[in-house]
Amino acid sequence: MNLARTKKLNLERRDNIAGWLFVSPIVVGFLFLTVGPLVSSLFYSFTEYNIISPPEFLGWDNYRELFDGTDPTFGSAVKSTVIYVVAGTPVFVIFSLVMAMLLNAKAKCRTLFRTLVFLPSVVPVVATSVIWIWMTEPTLGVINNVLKMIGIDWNLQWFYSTGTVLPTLILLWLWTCGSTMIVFLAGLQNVPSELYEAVEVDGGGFWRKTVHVTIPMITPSIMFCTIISFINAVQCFAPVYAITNGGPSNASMLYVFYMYREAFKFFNMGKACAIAWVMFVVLLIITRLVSVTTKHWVYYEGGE
Amino acid sequence: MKSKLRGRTSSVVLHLALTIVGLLMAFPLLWMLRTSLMHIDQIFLLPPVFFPDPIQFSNYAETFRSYPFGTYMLNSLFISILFTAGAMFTSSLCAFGFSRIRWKGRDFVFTLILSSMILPSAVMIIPTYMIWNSIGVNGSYLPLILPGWLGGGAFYIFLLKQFFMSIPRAFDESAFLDGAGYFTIYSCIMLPLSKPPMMVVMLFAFLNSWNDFLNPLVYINDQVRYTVSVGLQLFMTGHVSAWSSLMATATVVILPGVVLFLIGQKFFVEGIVMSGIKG
Repeated sequence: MNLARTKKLNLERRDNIAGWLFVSPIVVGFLFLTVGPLVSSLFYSFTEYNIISPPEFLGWDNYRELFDGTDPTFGSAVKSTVIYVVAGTPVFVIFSLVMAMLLNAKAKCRTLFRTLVFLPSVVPVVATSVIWIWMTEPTLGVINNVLKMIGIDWNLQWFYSTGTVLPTLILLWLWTCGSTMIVFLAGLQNVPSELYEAVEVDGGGFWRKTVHVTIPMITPSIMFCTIISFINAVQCFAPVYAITNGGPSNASMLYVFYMYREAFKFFNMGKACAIAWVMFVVLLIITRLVSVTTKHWVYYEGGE
Repeated sequence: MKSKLRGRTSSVVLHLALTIVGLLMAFPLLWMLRTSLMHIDQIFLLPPVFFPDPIQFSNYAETFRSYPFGTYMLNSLFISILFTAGAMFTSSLCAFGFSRIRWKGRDFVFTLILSSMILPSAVMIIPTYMIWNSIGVNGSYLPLILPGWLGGGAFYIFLLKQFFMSIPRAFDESAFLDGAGYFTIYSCIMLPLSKPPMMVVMLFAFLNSWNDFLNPLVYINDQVRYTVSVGLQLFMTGHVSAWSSLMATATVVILPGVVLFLIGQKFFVEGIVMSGIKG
């Protein structure tokens, strides 16, 4: 009996060692690239640090200055990011879903269209930005001129006016919906067809099927894509850097760009870390809220 | 009879909608291509001219003349290949460890790793930069390559773990009976069976590395060592109104990724659907 117990313990020990060994890369990566930066940035957020000279302890000053109006750009950053994220995420998710539904329907050359829709998300964001600057040029760009050709002479300013810059950035984001569309596609293909047949038997059409079968069954995909899209929206950086630089008049001073500018243009590492932590805490709270409420509207086939 | 007509109409509507969407999606890229092959005077003509006449490649010559884009492409290739190799190797190792071995703390560690996916990478960029800075590797490609070898990222591990879990344990068990160790099972059984999701990992990892803009911008200071995405940005600030050569540069930057994608695109949809990532 003792022999059997020893053998079992040895096997367990072997499994433990093997397990940790196999996952060691990501564990090291996690500690070095996630935990380390998190902890050190928290530390630096309480200092003034410009890399060249040693950090100077400031207490809560960095945080206080963000909220007491010393830096009005912080307000612009928060405002523009909130607008972009709150308006953009639902639009993006619904658009991706509609695209996926369109591409899930039985149609000829379905693969070709899926490739076309996915292609923009494969393009580097810098290149996308450059192309869009060129297309949306108010006087010379192709969009305004084509619109003029068909009689729509609105002379839209796209990236150049404070009112239209954020919607244009959202439009740019919609163009790259490919990867989200694919996730929805996978979700749609896993809806059991018997459910659709049941609706057909009852005489229901497309609308009934969508509202009563499709949407309830893909709530896990909707939740997943909404969270991921939300996080992506909050992280929007490259188009702002490449196209708008936060302008015009700070209308597109999205949060990450604001943070980047603080760190690499003004060399205020301490303040930049504080900015990062404010965002991190807000995101944590939001993610927690979302996962607590999901039980009430998300359906998992496997049961949880 | 009525439902057949309704079926026909909805099919036409569907194909129409698909064509419009397809054109809208492809248009910016086609426009870029068209502009890149045109003489600068022709591109400003109104109403807009859609086909270059004559087709000229001199814009592309300008691309390679003003900045060492050949070097940039080699740099990007170097970084992306090393990163992707690391990602494929370490993410499959970790996925194996999370799915095929039962060990203490496994689920807890996995949840922890997964939660790091929620962290916006932008929040991490500054402190990560400072850590690399304090080690003293600034300017080298290490900060761009090493993360690939430290697991590659939670996303790939998650993808592969889901896939591994769908392979029957009978394979493992018979291998154990034959005296195989874990690594043998990993390399001789798991990997050969996992070609589709591994292709997905390879394509996504390569594209993410190739298209990455923020990290090369932050970590590379020497102009000669830039990557294509940073090079494009540089080109744009230096040639503000030279639209035709700018578009040519953009085409050069996009092309490798697109070609790679077109070659492997059938794996994308298959791989994601198969691995069960749907929420």
